[in-house]
Amino acid sequence: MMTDDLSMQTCPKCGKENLTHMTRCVHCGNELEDLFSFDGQIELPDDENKDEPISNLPLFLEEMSNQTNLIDEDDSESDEDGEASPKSDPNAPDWLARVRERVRAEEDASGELTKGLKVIEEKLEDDNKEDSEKQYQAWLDEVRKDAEAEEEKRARRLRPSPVDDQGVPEWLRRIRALHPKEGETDEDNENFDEWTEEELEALRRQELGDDYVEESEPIEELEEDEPESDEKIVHNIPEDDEDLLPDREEKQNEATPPTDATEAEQEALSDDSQFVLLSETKLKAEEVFNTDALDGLLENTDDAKDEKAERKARAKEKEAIIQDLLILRGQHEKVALLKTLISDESRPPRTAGKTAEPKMTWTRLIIGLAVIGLLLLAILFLPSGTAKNPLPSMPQLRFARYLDGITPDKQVLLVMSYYSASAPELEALATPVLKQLDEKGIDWQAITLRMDGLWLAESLYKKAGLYDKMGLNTARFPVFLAGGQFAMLDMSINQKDKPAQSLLQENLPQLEDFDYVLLLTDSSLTVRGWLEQVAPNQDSLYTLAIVSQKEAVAIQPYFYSGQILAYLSGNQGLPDTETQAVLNQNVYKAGMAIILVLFVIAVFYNAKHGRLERPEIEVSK
Amino acid sequence: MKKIAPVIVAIVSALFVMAGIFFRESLGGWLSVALNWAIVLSGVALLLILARFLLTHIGYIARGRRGFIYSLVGVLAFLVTLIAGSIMGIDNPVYLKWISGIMRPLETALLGLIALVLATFSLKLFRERGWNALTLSFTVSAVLFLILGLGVLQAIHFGPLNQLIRVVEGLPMIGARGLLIGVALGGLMMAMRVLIGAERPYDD
Amino acid sequence: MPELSLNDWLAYGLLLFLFVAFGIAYLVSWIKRKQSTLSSESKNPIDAILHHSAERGEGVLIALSDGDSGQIGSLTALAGLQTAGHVFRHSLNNDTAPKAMAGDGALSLLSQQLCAGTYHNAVMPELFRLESSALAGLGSFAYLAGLMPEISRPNLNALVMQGELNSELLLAMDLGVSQGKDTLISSSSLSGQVISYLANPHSALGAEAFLNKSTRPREKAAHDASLITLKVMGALIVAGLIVAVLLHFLGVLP
Repeated sequence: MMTDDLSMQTCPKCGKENLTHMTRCVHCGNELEDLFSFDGQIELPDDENKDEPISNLPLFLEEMSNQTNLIDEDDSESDEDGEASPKSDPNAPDWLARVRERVRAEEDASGELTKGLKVIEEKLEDDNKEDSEKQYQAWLDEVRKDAEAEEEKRARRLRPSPVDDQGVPEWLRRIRALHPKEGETDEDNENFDEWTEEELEALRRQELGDDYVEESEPIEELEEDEPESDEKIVHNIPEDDEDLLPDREEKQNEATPPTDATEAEQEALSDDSQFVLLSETKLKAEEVFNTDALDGLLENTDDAKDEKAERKARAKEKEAIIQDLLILRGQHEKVALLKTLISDESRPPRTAGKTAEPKMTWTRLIIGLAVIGLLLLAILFLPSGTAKNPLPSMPQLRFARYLDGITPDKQVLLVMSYYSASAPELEALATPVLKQLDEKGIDWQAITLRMDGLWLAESLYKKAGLYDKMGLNTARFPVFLAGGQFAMLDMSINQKDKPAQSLLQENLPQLEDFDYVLLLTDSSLTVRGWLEQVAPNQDSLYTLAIVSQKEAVAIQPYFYSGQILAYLSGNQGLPDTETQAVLNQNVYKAGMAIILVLFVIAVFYNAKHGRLERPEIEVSK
Repeated sequence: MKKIAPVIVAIVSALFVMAGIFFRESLGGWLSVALNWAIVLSGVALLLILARFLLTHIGYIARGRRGFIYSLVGVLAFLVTLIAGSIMGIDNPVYLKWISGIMRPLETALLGLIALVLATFSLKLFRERGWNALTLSFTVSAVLFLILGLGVLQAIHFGPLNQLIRVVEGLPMIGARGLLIGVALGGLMMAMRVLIGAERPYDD
Repeated sequence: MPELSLNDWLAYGLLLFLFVAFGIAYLVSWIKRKQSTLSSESKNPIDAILHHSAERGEGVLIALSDGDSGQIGSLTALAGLQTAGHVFRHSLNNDTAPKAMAGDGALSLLSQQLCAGTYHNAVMPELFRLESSALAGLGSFAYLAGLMPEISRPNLNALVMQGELNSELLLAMDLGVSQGKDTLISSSSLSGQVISYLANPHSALGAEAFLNKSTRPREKAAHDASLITLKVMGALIVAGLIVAVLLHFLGVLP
């Protein structure tokens, strides 16, 4: 099997095979992550909350403990109060010394990973190591709790924020509480609750959760978010916060209804600067967060003006940074295209099912109907022409001569190889020949290279009036020779008086017994094959051919080179009246005349209208 | 070895057949055996591909693929012909007459269609290709042979004209000879390429 | 060994010369393969066809020999297999896989194995489908009848035909052209060549029916060697014919 040396995996959805390293099924697009594995990979239990830190997974303990030991060595060198005091190690490189310094300076340099591992180690030391089941259960419970906490936190984020009595949303209250303004008194900010430092810390811890990092300095970046009173700043709101939109929209509509000027300015921001806001298609300008509500709360004092100037400068700086993050207008379409491509992955192509409409051309239909109609009229009304051909061709004359020269002691092999479509034409040519052979008492054996010959022979003999005379002469019924050119070659090298070696050879005629071979075919390939495979090995065999008109030109070189003695083709049968009687010569000529007239009309039409421009295949060398 | 074995088999087979043709007296029998093997193999291959053909079209019918009705007709025709031939025998005149009665009109219709399409192609030649040496020579030759086919000029019975007609009727042979020489040379080139193993169409 | 006449000796001499010329041309082409600029006019469009089909996400239909007269193992059929292999190799990641159809059982099986091997070598065996190769029908007309519905498929971009194709291929070509598909035809049959050239200027004439496109070094060298040898042999034959005509007019030759 071709896939023996490649390991495969079966898709659980569609059941088809895929390579082992595939992460998606190539047939249905189903993810195969669960089946995806390296050799020797440790299988980890499914973790519901994939955002959980690695420190909570106990299975990597051995590996991480090595790292922990390494880090412990570093930590053991530090002082108890945490101040960095690197051991004097004259051999240690400078960079190592700097790293050690930094480790001691920063409390979390060793990372949460090792912190968590330390915690777990301590836990493990305390717990009874033999009670692994309990530990595992405890770990599971912890994982579940964390997952639930994460879920709750996520749900809380998405829940619309509660609004107080004054209609100020909670998130705004939090912001104000975290960054109280100088000189701002409780009377001015009646809406704010009194938050103590501890409460604020607890709030931060609660909100940030695992991301919480104790900050020694107040966050300065938030100050830059404070808007200017005389400038409309539009902020980008991520799509996840869509649930916030209704509340915000209501408040904005009540407080400051969106004005045309606002929209115009925002459009100017997009148009003039060629920047497009993220999620532009989803949010409208009035839905975008603006800090107009905050403006009213700020006092228009001199200090405030100075602060405003500072904030303006910082805002410009921030805008410059934000502008770098925005997508250029020209790239927006590319982003959409990329999103489409990614989403279309593993799906059937867009062109599937699209039908290419065939071009309907009436010209061909008209020409075809005209030709058929005129021919029908010719068949119905023209008398059947039986006039002798005034100028028979050389192949015709030669054929008649050789046919006359065949004596009754000669043997003829009739090789049939034509389709039913060519039967009327070839039967008309072959019938007089077979009649003449029969009248002279010359016997022949028939073989056919195609299966069609088996049911066409009856028609041929009936037309020649020989079918009823066949009787017990079964040799005249064609035998099917399977194998095409191989069979022809086998026949030519098959030696006389040698017993047949297989069933295939039982019916093979012995070519040495024959003097003439008459090829009755509508394909020049058969004639060529016979002349290439058989004739060189049988010098005493003379070849005559009856071919259809369309293949006559291909036979001409063989005739003029002497490989074929003579041939008949088309309506140029034996130069006597009998062949002419089979084919209606007048209808044949009428057809030629019709085509000639159409040709002349086409020449003049094309001369008038010129060439039709069609896209051609580009050819590059 | 996987890649070399088919090449060796192909080259040895070709050389053996050539030797068998040249030294027929001594190797003719062996060559006949090899040819019979080839004929049997081709028959078996045909059986395999027919089975595949049947299964494919049965699959199309089962899935209801677009155009499955054609598959249905094909499969039914195949099965009926196979069963009837097995029961009645392929030499049975009734069986042969029945097949002939179906095949003949179908193939004749296709051939008539080919004639019509060929006629329209030749009529559209100028529209597609414009006026150039090829189209002009084709037009002239087509008109000339159509006139000759009518038999009008031959009926005049003028000796030099008859001679000229014979010469003109032999002109297509020039082109045919050129094409045949080209085809023969091309075939020889192909055979050379297969013999030296440069081209392995039987191998991926 | 059969008795050889003068004509036979002349033919064998030509054959020997051809073999030697081909061998030398092959060696030279193999050495200079990176500098090769030779190409066959009838096969140049095939790369454009493959590019179009890849861009549009549509497939290519490859029509091999029609199995006329029970012809099996013909040389043009092998050339058609080569072309099919080239198309398969360059359409591995296409949205719609190419399909090969033949009028001969052995040819269909060979093309199927070729396709399977191509995908296997590209380490994509799961993408191989058994329907990539099929039997259209035995004989010219049955082949045509089986081919035409495939040409009418909606997600098909091009039709590439190479093999022993008779004049009946005209219908298939006409259907492809009328549906706006790119067509490329290489037939070794005389009537097939004439008819295809009438309809499509990119069709193969003469020896071009046995040529194919390939990007593999070995096959490219063989292809270049064939072109060089054909030119040399063509010149030799033309020179011989001219000399023979002169001698005939001079009365030396009968």
